[in-house]
Amino acid sequence: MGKYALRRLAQMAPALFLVSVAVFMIIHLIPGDPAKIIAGPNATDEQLAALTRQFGLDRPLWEQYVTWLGNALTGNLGHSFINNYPVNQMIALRVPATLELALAATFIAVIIAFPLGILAALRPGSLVDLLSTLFAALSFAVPGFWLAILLILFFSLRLQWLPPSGRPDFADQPVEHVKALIMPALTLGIALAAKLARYLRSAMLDVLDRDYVRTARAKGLQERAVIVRHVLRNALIPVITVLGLQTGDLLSGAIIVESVFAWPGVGRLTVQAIGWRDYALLQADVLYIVLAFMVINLLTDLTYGFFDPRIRYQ
Amino acid sequence: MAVKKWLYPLIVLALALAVAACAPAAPPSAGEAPSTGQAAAPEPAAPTGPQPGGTLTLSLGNDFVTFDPYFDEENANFKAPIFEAPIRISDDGGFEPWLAESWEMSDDGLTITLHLRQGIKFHNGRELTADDVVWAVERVLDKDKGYHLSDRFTTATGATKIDDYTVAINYSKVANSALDGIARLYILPKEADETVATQPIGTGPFMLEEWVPGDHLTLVKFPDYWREGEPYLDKVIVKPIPDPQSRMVNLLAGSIDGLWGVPLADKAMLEQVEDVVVDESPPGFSFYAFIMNIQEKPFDNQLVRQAMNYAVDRDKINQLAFHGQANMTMLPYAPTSWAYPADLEGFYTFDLDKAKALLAEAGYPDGFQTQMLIRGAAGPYLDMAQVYQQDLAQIGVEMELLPTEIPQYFPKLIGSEFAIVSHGTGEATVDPSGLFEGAACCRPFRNFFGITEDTTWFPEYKALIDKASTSLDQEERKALYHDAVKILLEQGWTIPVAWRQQVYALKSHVQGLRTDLDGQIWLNGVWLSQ
Amino acid sequence: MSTEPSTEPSAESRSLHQPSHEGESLTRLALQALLRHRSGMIGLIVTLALLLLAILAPAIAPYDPLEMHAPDRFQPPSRTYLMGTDEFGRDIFSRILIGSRISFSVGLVSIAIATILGVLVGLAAGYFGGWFDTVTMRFFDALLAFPAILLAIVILAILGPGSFTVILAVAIVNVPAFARLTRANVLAEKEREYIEATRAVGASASRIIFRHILPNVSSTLLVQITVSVASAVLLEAALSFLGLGTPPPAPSWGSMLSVGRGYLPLAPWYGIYPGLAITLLVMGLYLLGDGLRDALDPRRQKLV
Repeated sequence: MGKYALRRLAQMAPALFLVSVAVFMIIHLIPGDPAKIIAGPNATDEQLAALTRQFGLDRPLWEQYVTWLGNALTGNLGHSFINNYPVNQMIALRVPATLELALAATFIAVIIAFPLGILAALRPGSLVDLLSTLFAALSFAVPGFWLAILLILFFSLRLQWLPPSGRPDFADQPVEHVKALIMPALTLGIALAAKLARYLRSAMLDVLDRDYVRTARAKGLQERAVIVRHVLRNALIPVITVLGLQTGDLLSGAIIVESVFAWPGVGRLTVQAIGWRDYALLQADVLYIVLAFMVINLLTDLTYGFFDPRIRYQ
Repeated sequence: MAVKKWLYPLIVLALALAVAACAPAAPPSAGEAPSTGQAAAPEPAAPTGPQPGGTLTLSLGNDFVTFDPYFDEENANFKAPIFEAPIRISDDGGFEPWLAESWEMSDDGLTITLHLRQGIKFHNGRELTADDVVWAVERVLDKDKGYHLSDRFTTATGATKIDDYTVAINYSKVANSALDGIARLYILPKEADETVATQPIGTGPFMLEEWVPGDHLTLVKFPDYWREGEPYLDKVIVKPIPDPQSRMVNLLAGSIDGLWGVPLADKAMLEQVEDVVVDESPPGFSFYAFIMNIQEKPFDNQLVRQAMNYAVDRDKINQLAFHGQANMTMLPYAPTSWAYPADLEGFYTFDLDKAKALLAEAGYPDGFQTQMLIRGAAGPYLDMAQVYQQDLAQIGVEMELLPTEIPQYFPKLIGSEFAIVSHGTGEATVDPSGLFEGAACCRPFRNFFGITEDTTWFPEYKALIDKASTSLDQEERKALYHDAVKILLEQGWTIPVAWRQQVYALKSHVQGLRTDLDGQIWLNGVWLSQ
Repeated sequence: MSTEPSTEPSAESRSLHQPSHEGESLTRLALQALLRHRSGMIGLIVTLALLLLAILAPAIAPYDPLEMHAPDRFQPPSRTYLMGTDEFGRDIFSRILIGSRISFSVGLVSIAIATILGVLVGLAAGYFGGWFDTVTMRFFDALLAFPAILLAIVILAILGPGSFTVILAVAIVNVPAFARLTRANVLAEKEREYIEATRAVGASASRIIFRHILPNVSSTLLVQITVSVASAVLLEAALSFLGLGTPPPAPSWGSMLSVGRGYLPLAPWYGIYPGLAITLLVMGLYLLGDGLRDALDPRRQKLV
């Protein structure tokens, strides 16, 4: 299994390379001259020329890419156009916030979705099942930014329990930090929970119909053992797929939630970079997103191995 | 074996959680001002005098981009704590000695001689001398660097050292705004030039200790500061909190002691809070305005432009767009300026009938359609445009609004790709010449609004401005500026609406903070009363 | 809260078992099944009601949505202003009514474009296979890796702001889902006997595709369309919320929420009603989609 993982990791490199080329081209498709944007309205022609040279924008596109690639391979992903700070450090500073939010949201989602989904599958047509359907429908229809606003209205303004936005330093104010994490994580987690519950329910219903479950029951296995050892284990595979996909989404930054709660994550950084045509930052940022997806994909695939002994990797 | 496999994902998860919990380590800030909570009754400011010590935590909004003082990037109002110039803007709107203890202008107005104080040290220990000032002037004149400050030294030719503490700065033409330039000529040591963007070295009361971009900036007291007793604070921490609501929450919770940039909608609410003091920078420099491109139809017609002026209801705009908190204006100078043309005050009134009549006279009895480029996707520029749009609709002018993100807005502005904009303009200068030199709306050169030498009234306009900028007679200049503003109003392409003011809020225990007309933040005399 | 085009996992598998006969009786049976489906009917009613309101909005709105009543800013909901007023004194209820037209037009037009483009590509990819299939599907897979909102933001950055570019951006984001769905269905149908027979008779590719395969794909397409319109409405609202959608003073629900968020202490209703409107419309479409899916599911139909 280790060899499989290594092989997958090795395959990531050429994929990343291709992606970097594609992203580089697309980014330069976006109209707008970063030098002009950053120079501002009072810039003279000389100032503009100086900035253009500084950003390397006066050289042909392929040369810009090759320079970038050469630097990237040594770990230097360039400097942000806006504040000249090393790009990888800018992203690295934001990753903990996004990671933390993703994990908290996933945690909330799992503890809501699993009981709900399992029960709904075991008692189809019951109240629980109806609730889970309603929950799924509602969470699809309620926009994330509205749920966020409602949470702020209630928990920040009405009850004054939680801060409406921001992310205090954990080292300085650990309690405040956790308090600030709750609403954004809830917003993302509830949406994810509904989806997960649905998938889990569907997957379990599918499995419950299968022959080997009937066999297990016929063998006289206790119902609980049947559920856990056979049904759940197999139902989890599609669920893990979905979870993996969603986590990838979360890692690339939940843009809306980060916006509403002023959560300093990667998502907001991406939007800012697009707005400012900060090519250097954007290039590295997109690569990070793709890399995150690939890693999650790999982790998801590896996790299958735990649940389905039939899946074996050489 | 099966058990072990199960552990792996859990271990990964635990590790990831640990990583997430360890946010970039911030140095423990000693003596952060504790939250004052709600006191029983607001105490009068205890006049026990400045106490040394303490840490001040502020948020200015966005993070710093560069510390090079010759650029006006984010937080350009935070240069004074680190850097200093030979003179500074005084409280009464003039200039007062700072690093220089006196100065004089030559009779022909082409040389300004500065007499520097002795014993002023840079943060790196070296003493400041005339050589440093000469080099500073050289630096700002370097066109290739693209400094924003260079705009204020366009007529400067260089500086000459007269002796160790005397410098003469030479100009090719009389420039009345020369002192404005010198007030921003921050002196830095030549040896620190390369790294000034991230490691600023100046003569100011605070030195940079640490900058973690996106997280915080820490300044510490400069022990060899040239002014005795100052600064009182031991430490200053600046945290970037771009979201205004977030900033306010932090202020109210006590995790910061002061913030810049209070949304006008929240100003009244914040003023009610007991331990918070709200203040604003004085009006008179920058103003909101609607500005027309006179090369675009129908704004090439003077009557149409005048009609647009008559359709501006400043009271309603103040009420709806600025929550009643703004200082409206019709003239590009504030009453505090000596060039204020009081007799031009009522030049335009809000008169829709007159506007409609003018349009008919101009040949547009049924109005016309146009688009307004808005500075920013949201904010006061958009709000005031929405109110204006409604009034214009009543005289038949259908104006579509195009809110544009800043990065795309400025290139369009510079390229004159618009018919009319909702903009903020005005270059901060003490001398009235700044309006016609720095402000994009009104200067006769590098003008984005279509004013070129072919315009009929241009020669007269330019002549007035040139004469006023080279004259040394204040009375004469006042009359000249009066006539220039009159032309500005008659031609009507720039419609000043309200003064742009920096609103800031401080906890009541923060004493002695000073801001000047330029909006610069002076922390020299700041002390904490608890 | 999903701004991505998505379907339940087994929708595709269900369609593969669809009996392929004339459209007629299938439609009638499907309609009957839909009418009996409780939540589907609720969805249908809600959607149609909102559509009706959208069409009649200019006539029934009590005030001009752009008209500013300066002395009445931030009025709470009352008899005069059913949902209160905003920062300019404009009636929020009227704005929400007119705003529904924006949601509907963006939702319907963008998905119409996405359907046409996606189905065409999917049909070609599925039927002809080869390099076209590989290239386009890989490309779409890559697109689907990104969150829809991020894609839309980048597309809007390239195309520039404006109401039509928003429609285009939302359409482009939804094309991959339609293409993949169509392709999967085509791949399944392609191997069926009746197709073999038609081919043996010498029918041209386009005839086979459009006259035989497409009608049998249409029921899953219909479900996907409904769900996609729902997520298109959400995406438009999200983009407007970020300031990238139809520009003010147009009363887009998303931008109303965005402004309302800044005034929550002053005017909480400003943050409630626009969101309620979005939820209602999307919920209606979602339930309708659910109902359609169940109604068209061959497993539920008592067919031979």
